[in-house]
Amino acid sequence: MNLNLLSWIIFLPVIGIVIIALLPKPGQKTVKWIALSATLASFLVSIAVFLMFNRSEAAIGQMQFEEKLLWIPAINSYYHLGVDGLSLPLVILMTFLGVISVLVSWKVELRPKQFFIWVLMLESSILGVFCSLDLILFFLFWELELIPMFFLISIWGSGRKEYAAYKYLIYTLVGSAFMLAGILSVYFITHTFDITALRGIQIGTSFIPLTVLFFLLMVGFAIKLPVFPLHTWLPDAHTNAPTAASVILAGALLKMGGYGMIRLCVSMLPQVALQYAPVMCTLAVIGVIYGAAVTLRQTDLKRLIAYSSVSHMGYVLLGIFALNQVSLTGASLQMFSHGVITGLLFAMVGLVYDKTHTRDLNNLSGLARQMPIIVVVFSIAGLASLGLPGTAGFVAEFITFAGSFTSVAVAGMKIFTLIAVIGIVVTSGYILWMLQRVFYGYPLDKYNGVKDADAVEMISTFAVVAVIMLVGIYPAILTNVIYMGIEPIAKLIGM
Amino acid sequence: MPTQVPWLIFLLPFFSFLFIGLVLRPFLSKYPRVGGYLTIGTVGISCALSLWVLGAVIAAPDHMLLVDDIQWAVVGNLNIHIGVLVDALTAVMVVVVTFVSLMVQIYSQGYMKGDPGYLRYYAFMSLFTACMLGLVLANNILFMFVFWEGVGLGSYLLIGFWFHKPSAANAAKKAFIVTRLGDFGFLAAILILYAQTGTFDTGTLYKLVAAGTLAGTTLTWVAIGIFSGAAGKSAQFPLHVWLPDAMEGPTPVSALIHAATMVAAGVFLVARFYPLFSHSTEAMTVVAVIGAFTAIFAASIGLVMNDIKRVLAYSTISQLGFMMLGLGVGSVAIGIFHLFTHAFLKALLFLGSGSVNHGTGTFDMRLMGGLRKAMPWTYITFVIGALSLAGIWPLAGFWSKDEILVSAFTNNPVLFGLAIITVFMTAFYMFRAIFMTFHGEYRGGAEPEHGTHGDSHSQGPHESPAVMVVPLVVLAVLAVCIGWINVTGFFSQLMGSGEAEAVSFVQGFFGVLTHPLPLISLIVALLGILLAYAMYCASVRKRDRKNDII
Amino acid sequence: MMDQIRYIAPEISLLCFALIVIVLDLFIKPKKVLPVIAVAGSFVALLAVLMLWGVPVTDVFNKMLAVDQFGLFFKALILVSLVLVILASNRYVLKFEKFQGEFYALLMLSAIGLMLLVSAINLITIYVALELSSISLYVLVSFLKDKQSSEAGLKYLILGAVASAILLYGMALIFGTTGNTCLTCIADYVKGMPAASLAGSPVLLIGLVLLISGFGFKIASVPFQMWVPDVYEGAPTPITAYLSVASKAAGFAVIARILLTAFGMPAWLHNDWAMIIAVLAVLTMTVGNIVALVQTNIKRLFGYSSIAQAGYLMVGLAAMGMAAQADSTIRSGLIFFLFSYTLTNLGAFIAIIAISNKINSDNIDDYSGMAKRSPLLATGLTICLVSLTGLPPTAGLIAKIYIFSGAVDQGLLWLVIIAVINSCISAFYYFKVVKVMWMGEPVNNDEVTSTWPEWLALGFCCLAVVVIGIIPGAFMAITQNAAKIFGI
Repeated sequence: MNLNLLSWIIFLPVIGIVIIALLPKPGQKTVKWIALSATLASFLVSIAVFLMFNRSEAAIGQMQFEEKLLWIPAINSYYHLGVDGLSLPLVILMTFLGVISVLVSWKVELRPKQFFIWVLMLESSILGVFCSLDLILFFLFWELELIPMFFLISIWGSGRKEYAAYKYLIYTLVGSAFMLAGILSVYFITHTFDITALRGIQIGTSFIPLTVLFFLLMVGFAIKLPVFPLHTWLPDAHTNAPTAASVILAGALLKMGGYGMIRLCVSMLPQVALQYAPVMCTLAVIGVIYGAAVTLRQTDLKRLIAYSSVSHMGYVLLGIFALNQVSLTGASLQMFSHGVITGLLFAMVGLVYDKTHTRDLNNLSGLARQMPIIVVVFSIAGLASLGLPGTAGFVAEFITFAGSFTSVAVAGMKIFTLIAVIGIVVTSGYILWMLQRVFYGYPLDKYNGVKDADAVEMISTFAVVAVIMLVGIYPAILTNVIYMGIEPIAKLIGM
Repeated sequence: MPTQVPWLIFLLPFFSFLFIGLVLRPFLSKYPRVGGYLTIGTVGISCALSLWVLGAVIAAPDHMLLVDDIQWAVVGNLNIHIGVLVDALTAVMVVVVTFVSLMVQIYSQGYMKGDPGYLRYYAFMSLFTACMLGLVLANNILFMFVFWEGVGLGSYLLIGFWFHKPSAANAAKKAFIVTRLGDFGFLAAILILYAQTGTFDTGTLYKLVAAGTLAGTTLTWVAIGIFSGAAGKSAQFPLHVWLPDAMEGPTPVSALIHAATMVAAGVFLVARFYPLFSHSTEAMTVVAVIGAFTAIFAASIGLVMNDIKRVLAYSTISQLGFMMLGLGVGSVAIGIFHLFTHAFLKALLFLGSGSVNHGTGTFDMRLMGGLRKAMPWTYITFVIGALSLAGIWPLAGFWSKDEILVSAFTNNPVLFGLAIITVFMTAFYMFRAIFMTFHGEYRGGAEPEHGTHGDSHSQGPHESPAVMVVPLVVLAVLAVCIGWINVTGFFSQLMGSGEAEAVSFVQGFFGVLTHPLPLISLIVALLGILLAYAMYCASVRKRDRKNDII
Repeated sequence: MMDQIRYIAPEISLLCFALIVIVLDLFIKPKKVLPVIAVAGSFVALLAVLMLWGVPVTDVFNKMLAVDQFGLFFKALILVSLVLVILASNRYVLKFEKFQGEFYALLMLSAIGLMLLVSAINLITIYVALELSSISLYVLVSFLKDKQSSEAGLKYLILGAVASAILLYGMALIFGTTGNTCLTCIADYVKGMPAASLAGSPVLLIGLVLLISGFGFKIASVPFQMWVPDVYEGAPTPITAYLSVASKAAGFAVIARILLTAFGMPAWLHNDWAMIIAVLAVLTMTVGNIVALVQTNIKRLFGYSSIAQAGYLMVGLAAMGMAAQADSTIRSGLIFFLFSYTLTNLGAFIAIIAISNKINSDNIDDYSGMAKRSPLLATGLTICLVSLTGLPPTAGLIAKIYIFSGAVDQGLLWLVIIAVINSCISAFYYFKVVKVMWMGEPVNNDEVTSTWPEWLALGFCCLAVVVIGIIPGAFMAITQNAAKIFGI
């Protein structure tokens, strides 16, 4: 029996959009409840998929919950969905953050109807990227995400919001422009858009060097991840986006880059990946250290966390291009854990900003007394971000390091790893410094009236904390699934 | 008893943490005392279980209890299990941790009374105790790292307990970051071990080292990596900088974490991986040299501190250096024995200083003086602790210090020289502290650090309540006698190094004074005390007398 | 001969209705009837086109006109744009006061010209049909009779005449070499020529170059684009819309037909002109996009945008030229792009017409806060702008993927990379309009209203753009069918 569960996951938010759009003059509360129901429904379906996911040995490398329908016959493109161990955690991540982002936007009062339409559309498009097994469909969803994000940043953002929105738009478009060229080249070399067929495909003759093909695809993913030096859009976009958009942007959207690298670059062109792994690992390490160093200098809370993402995504890149099974698993897990952790951090920054109306560290102090609940959750998020054991951050980073340290893909991989490990020391520096500046020290009188988290805020943030802890304490819940997807890819590389 | 019982030792305090954090603090914050009782209760049961475990280990033929593992995560060939390792080292450590923790929790009932963060305090204390026990029990280097970071977190939270003070917040941050710097080495060592052997299991690692599979430069680097982690936590030079600042935390915290247990975790870590260290001469040398240098270096700073807690803090660093020296030149038994005795007597000293603070409201020794009349119990117990630390026969400190000096002497005369100077300095600064604090005339005092005690200080210094004094007395008794367990070599044998000497207790007890080395150290320590007396007690009296004449 | 009349039934029926409009205009006062008749006529013609769809490919009137799916497809497209433009002019025509009848009639006449143009297979019919449509358009461009409109009309007339002259030169040279005006005959002659003599025959090649240049004017390719901004700005907005789609679509149709039919062989020849087109494509899209960045008038902006879009279309044309053996993807990419571009651009112009009716300004700054003043018009315009940028879920993205995939297949990866980078640049100015509409503060709070025909037209375009964007399969099949005639 095929329930088309993946289609439901992707299109339940769209149904929400349609309902919101059709209501003539919906009240704010109505819109929010519809959005919440849509995201929650999508989340529940994705949990069902997670529970029903076949974890047996026989299913390794198989796509599950597949749906296939001829879509554009002219170019042999299918409406082809499916999940495997690589994409499923990311799907869960997105549906989960979808719910959270609606909850953290509970107080949005500026054009709520439009706002939630864009949030839902964003969720749909990102889910589409993770579920698509057809390159054209993948590309379609990849591009679709731009429009809601552009609007979310430029209308509901703060600061230099238009500049940030444009920068985001252009960077992404340039990346996807190259990606489109890459995808079309892939098609004319292999005559298929089917991602499952492309995994480990033997490419005989090609009209362009495979290296060129690899980098055409890579640029798009590298911008999204982001890889140093293509990261400069990220701080602006994160800083100026509204909270919900930051949560989704940092939480799920960046992961499209890492996902694409594993799914396409590494799976399809393992030999080229192997050849250029030293370059990518160098960039990864630079990203880790540079990102962390720049983070130390930030005084804007949001910008600080944005730069920390640059640093943390460096671990993902390192894990991917260490090219062995453990490191790839680590990278996948790091994508998930960074998603929930940084999502939570942005949500918390949003809360602090809502209540104090400043994000400037120089204006904040001693808030621990005034907001005792927020300080606990914020601290947990921060500690998870610096990789404290017991949280998802530690497990992911450790597995990544263990994988990349033992990698034989690149000469000197041990050195790369050790340099990257230094990153976690710097991370603890800026995270603790931030916590201290915001929450410790003398309480300021001007914040005496601020409220602590209310019920909605508590529910949303506690839920994320629970996930962070769950993965931190029992990572097998995800690693067992990720294994199903990574194992065949690791075999391709033969490491 | 079922084999999984050792788990309970860890789980009980952890449950206490969860219960306080998730139930008491949100819903029952009107009844903070419940948190205190809960913590004391769970730690007490843990302590009883630990004693039972110690008994079982002593009784077991190879001093080892077998406990089955639980699978945690499988990632390709990265297969991680969770399990506990119960050998003599673990058994001794759990006893130390749970016992000191129990004493400190009871003492805190008095010390922290009325503090608005009372529940938070007990939650953090439970968390810390749980993590410390987890670290000691884990049979897997990865999980040791997990709890290693966990105790770091506990330390961070407790140093910054009074977070509204910028100095406390700074100190907490500094402690975490500096120790993390050391952890970088630890993590690197884990990665190297994993790359080299594919396992995290301590037992397997022992076997690989014994079989010679793990050897050479790799082993040295692994050992040095582990030592760098240990140096961070145990405040060895040059990563010692955080410990003096860490005194910003409540004093019972300093007693538990920054004197007795967490800082000793580094020593424990080296001891745990002693088989790895002992196969690398270079690593052993590094441990010994850093240890000896730290010992004398910190002691020399301790000579001039005016804050009683800082004196104790530098003393702790110095003693930790001693332990490292003991490990570097001797054996697990020697290092851990000193850890064992030091834990009790340093906890005693810290709690004593807390009691002084409770009575006077300050830690500044220049504002104290003459407290021996007002606080007789505190005075007596503190003196016992100081004598023990100075290494005066037949107190606990003497026995453990003596063994380190003996092995240093047989190993390397330079290290011995450093150690003996340290002994002198230790005696000096401890008694300098005693004379400044308890002798002479009272010099004022100050408002208490947290200003929320129910009683006022207007009547001048006063003795602390019974709930604080009783732990002092218990610890003082231990500070006197706990060293006697190795008089006949029992402890060394338990630790698996050396045979029980074929001597009776009495022979060993007095016979030690017939050897020249113990005598020398005893004399050196007495000289230190004398000098302190001359400089801080006699001279003051003379001056006072002069003043009277004028 | 007479039995072949049925093949030009669409043109004839449209002509009849155009005459009815002119005659009725003389007698009746309520001009509201006129657009109804014009639309009815267009539908009749459309019906006639659809009825011809199934007939086998044939040529009529002594190889003057072809009856094939390619031509029919474009005829249908032209008729659809005609209907949409008439609907959208619903309020705009009030500016013409008593000349409304002429406006509709001339539009229909120019449509007839374009319809003949897309099915013409003889240089002579091509020229005549071109002039028929052009002369109507010269008049229409200056229809507002104000300074700008008249200037635009004059400019269009002069430059159009020059282009016609160039075209005529080219045709003459080709005729002089080959002795034929019918495209298939020219093809036969060229194929028959020995390679050496063909290469050494500058007259034929110069003729070909002049031909490309002449049509370059029509499709607004660089360097023949300079008339575009002024004419687009000055002309009545519905005419601008019409120029930017119908006229351009027909231009591409005829140039593709000439090049592929007459000069499709031998290989080196089609590779040569394909390379010329490719180079022109780079120039066209780059110039169009970069100059568009600095525009402040929305009609000028769309003028440059249409130049840029012509550049993408030329990528498709170049790919068609490169194709050694015909592949349906490559051949139909251009057609599909034209199809989606027509609907998208028309949609955008319909929204612009509706908005400018109310605010009487073409200044982009005056669109500020349009989302508040008229959410639906703003949404419609946004959908079209998103499609022009080439983002999902619209026809624009699929069309770009489709047309570029053909080019990549022909080894024009470099060209595609330039094109996709260009489309990134285009995002700047398209999203500038979006940004102004959605994020700007409204100039005032007057609601911008529109009439139901405008709604109908805009709704149709937006719906089509989105539907094609999501399920393009069926539409691609139609365009592939239309492209079949170029099979070799």
